[in-house]
Amino acid sequence: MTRPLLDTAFFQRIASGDQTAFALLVAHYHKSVYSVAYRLTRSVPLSEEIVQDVFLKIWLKREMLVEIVNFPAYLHTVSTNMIYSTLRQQQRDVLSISDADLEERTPAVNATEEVVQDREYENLLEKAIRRLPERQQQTYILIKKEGMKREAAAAAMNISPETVKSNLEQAMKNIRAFCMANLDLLMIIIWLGR
Amino acid sequence: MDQLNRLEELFNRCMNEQATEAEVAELTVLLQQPENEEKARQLIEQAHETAPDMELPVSTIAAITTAIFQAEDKQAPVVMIRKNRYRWLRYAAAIVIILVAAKGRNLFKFEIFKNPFAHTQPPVHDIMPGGDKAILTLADGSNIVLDSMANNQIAKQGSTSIIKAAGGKLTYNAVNNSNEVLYNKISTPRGGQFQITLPDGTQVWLNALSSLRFPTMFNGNNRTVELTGEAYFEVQKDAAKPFLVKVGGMQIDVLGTSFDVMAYPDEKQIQTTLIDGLVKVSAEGQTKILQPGQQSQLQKDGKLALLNTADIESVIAWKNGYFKFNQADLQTVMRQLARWYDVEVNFEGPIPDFRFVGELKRTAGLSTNLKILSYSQVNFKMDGNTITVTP
Repeated sequence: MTRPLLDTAFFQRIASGDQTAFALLVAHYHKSVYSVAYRLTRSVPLSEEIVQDVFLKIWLKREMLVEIVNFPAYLHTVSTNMIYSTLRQQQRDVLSISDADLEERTPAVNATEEVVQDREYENLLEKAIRRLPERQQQTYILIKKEGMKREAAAAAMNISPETVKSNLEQAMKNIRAFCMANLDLLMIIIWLGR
Repeated sequence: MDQLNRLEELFNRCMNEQATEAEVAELTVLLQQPENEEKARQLIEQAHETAPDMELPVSTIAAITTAIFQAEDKQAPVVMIRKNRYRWLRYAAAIVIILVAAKGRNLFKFEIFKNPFAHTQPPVHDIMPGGDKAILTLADGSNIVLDSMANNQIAKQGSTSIIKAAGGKLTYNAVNNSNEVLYNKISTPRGGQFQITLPDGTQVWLNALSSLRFPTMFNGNNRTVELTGEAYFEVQKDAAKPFLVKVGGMQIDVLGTSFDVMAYPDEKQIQTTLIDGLVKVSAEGQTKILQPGQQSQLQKDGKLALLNTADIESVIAWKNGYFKFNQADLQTVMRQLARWYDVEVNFEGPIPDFRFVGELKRTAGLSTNLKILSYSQVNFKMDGNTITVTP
């Protein structure tokens, strides 16, 4: 394997915020993360989320990259932590928060602290939705909030069901990344209920 | 066998993709035991080095990196929900991705441009993209040019009125049943596209250099249309009257559905891609029934092949204002550009064996798109309406 771009200067470019270089890094290095995650979870969406979370973490701490001598070793450590903690979520659908939960949960029985947290998640989710590009936002609202079927949403917006699907997928990825970046939520997976 | 050995054995079976569902479940339980944590972490970490690589599609990588960059972009404007929620501005895709991989897996080049030309004016001599243009040929052979027409009823054919709406759209309204069946034909030139609603409510998006011949009223026991070039169909359901598309010696029987047919004579094959519903494709005595996501390919030698997982996004990108390429070679990319920008393309010297993955906007000027492609170390010379490609 030739690795012409992955030298010190390359990591310096990422450390200084070069998105092109970082995208190349993801394209080049996601395979080892995805290969292990997929074989252990046997779920494409879940494995994609692990890949996204691992590289989000690396992007947020990109300044550190200039000091890291062995990037694969660093990546494998971050990835191992992420995969292991995902596997430890024994009952994901109970421990994780789906956006449906955020709307339906009645906080009366929760401890005060949890109520506050719930509100924070809700605010964060709302903020994430407001930041979406317009067509992703519309798609998300029609399907996830108003419960429309994909075909109905497609008809309402006069676009194809395929476009609805890809808009929704990108919206989910954006919301997830925004929430992960803005809350130290490594213990709490915001699972957007596919 | 103690627990740690069992854990390792199951883990290795899982990495080799030999584990049964029951074994995966057992492994999950073992991995979750707090006392096994050290071993579990060690196995997972080692597996990063040893597990055979699996790869995500480039479109997913693009979606993931887009989400990551956007999560941190503090200046991103907050888009408020608009009152009129079903009318949109088209979201201008901020990121154009072109990935070029040589056929061997070793060479690998990847470029992302974030609105690379947002601040540059296109040069005056640029070749502008195609637009909503078509010619309608009525039953009597007269032609109506559809690009400059005011939006109103433009003609009557028998008892069917033809209405042109905004945004390159033509609608046929059949008011009552009459026995008079007239045939019309709509043709797009190079650099043209058009949308038409047939008398039964079926919608057809016609790509550049294409034509559709159809009756002004469907009163037989089927609905037959004839296509050249490329079109995307959303067929109105009517079990009593099957919808038939005749295209290049092939017939497509439609059973209520959305699909795309690409049948340009300069492409290697006629591709029929099913998005929704069910279609039956017949040619040269062969028949294939397509399920959603599948694509049939009628090759020049008459062989009808079936592709199980078509890249639907790429197939119908043209209808949504994009060129989208998934492992397309340079010639394929250039054929699409040639049809939309109405240019001739010549290759000089060896043609680079690249595969392109990514999106280009159909609304951009030709020079903008060529500039993006030229980052893959292909050179383009524009001379009038001729583009010369050199390595």
